[in-house]
Amino acid sequence: MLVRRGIAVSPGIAEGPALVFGAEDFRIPQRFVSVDAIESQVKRFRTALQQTVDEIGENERLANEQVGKQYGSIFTAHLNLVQDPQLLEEIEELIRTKYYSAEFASSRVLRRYAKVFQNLGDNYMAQRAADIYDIEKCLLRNLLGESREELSNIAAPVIIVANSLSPSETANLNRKFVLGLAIETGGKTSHTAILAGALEIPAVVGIGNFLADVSGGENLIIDGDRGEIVIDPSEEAVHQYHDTIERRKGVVKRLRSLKEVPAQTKDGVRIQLLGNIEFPEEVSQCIDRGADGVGLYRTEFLYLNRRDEPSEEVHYEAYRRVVGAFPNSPVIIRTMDLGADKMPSALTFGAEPASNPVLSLRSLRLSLKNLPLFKTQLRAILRAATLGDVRIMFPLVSTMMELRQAKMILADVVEDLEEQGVEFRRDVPVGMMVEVPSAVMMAEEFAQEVDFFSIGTNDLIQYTLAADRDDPNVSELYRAGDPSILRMIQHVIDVGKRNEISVTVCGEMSTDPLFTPLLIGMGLRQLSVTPHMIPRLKELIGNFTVEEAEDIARHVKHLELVRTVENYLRGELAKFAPDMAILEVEQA
Amino acid sequence: MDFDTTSDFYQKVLQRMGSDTVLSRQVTVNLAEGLHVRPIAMIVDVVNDAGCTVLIRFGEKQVEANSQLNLMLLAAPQGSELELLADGDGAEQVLDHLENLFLTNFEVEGTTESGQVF
Repeated sequence: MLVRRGIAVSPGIAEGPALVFGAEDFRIPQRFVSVDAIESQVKRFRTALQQTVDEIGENERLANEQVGKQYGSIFTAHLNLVQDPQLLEEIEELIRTKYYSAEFASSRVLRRYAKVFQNLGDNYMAQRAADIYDIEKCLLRNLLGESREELSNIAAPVIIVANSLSPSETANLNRKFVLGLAIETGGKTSHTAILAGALEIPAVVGIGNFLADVSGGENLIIDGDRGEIVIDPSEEAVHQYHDTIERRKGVVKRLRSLKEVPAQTKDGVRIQLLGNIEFPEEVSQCIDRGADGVGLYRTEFLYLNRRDEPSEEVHYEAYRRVVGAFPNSPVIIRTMDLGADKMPSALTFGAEPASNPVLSLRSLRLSLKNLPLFKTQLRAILRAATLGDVRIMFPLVSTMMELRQAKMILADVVEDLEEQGVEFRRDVPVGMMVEVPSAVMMAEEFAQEVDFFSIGTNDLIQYTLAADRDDPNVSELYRAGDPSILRMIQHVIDVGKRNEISVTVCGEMSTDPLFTPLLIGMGLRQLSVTPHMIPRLKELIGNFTVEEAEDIARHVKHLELVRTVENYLRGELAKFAPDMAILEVEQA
Repeated sequence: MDFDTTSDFYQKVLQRMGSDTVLSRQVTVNLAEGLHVRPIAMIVDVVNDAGCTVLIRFGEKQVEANSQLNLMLLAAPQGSELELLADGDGAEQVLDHLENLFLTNFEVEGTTESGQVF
């Protein structure tokens, strides 16, 4: 039995056999095949070979173009090698006569030649072994990549173990059979992690190198609550986990019964619980859990994984799916919130790489610099708004000028649509994210110009405390409970109340039960959270009165240290949360 | 060494070439790093374009010249004497072409001012 820890990104516990996908130095899943699989192996080999040839050819072309023919000829040599008639004959021979899998045969033959080079004695030629390994890698990647497409065709329950999994691979997973994901790389905010959460597949990422410790088919427990995987667990461990799984099932059942019950405090004050979503598919999870709407629809996914700009129709189609599923509830669509560093280069129109990306050209700033891109999105939002209660939200507003520019462009788009006689909605409410300290300071003025505020705590914390949570040297400073953050939130809530505009919190903080009573005590009546947490938060909210919450807020107001704040809130939460043990595990 | 110049494969090729029609040329490797990856890539290109069978013999070793791998495995150093053998349509032209490559030192030394040899 071996326990490895990683980052918990999608809750849930599962037990099952491992399905291992290779790391950069590829592990070969299967060495021998049955006689009747020979032809399909040869075919796989030839397909992978063609892909490898195409890839190297593309490299050759690029090198010729960009650095000159003498560099391109490296790839010419690689091309010759990978198409070497003798090599191909030997590989196919091994598949046909020794029933090797395509991967195993390729690897065997190439490695044999690499060794020959290493032993040539000639220093220059010995180094050519590296070229051979390069080709092996490329070939194996294409072979294994091909089998990875079978990810969506998995027909028996497995836990997927991989070095990395791309967002599109994750999106194609069959939820019925994929019990969990254990990934060596990645972090909390990687798209794969977000997607696993959306698909509700228990997932642990950022485990570090462990693939070598797992073989395919080995029994595995994945604990997406604690961020743990147990390789080859003892009987006792399996027992213990099954207990936990049973207990969780009980809780889940109880929570599910809350679907139709509106979120309200013990004394009957209605709290709006909205869902944060990234993909149109997630709307159903909001509906299933009785969400009051979509409080944050992130639209970044429309821009990623593509080379060109998404068309208006691509936008519209996505929005239509969300709004159409939720026609009578608010859907807050946030405009593109990407950094220039994450955008396909074609869309950043040659912006210099930033030395400090989070303080650079990103989000609304990027939209304002790229008006066609921005207008395309706005057009699609306004058109989709005819289908329901759509609201537009601008991210990362840091000055009044930016907000006014954005609103002016929106007005332009309205005019264009009108002129063109396109059906759209004119009176779409416009709001802004409050996530930069400057916007907090100017909240009173901003409140005159927008219909709602949504506090984005993730960025607000990093900009206020000047700490990157992914940097282990300073991540300790990055805390939602820091008194400075709480005061900012309080200010924005107060401004909203005075000006009669709604205020939501949509960062991760709003999903954390630790802060729920506090935020409500501070006057917040709307939370936008990860959909799967809605039932738990509903239950929690029903367990305290507004007065109790206000007492908590009053007490916290006087605390100076984040540690004291958190400890106090933990104590209070224990009073209200019946399944504290389980909740705590989920938050660990 | 792991590859065998007396294997069936080479015997077959030699047979196919038929000893009486085979044309032959002697060339010398005049490259500081020996017959390395880049000139070999050029040879393979010429041979593949020609469409006739070409063998290169270096001492005991004899390989088909359409194989980057085998030419690399020849590991022919600076000053090596090679024999080029060709058979079939265009054998004469392909040998001319190859001989010319050797005589002009593959024009590689001139393009590698940086001292880098690929």
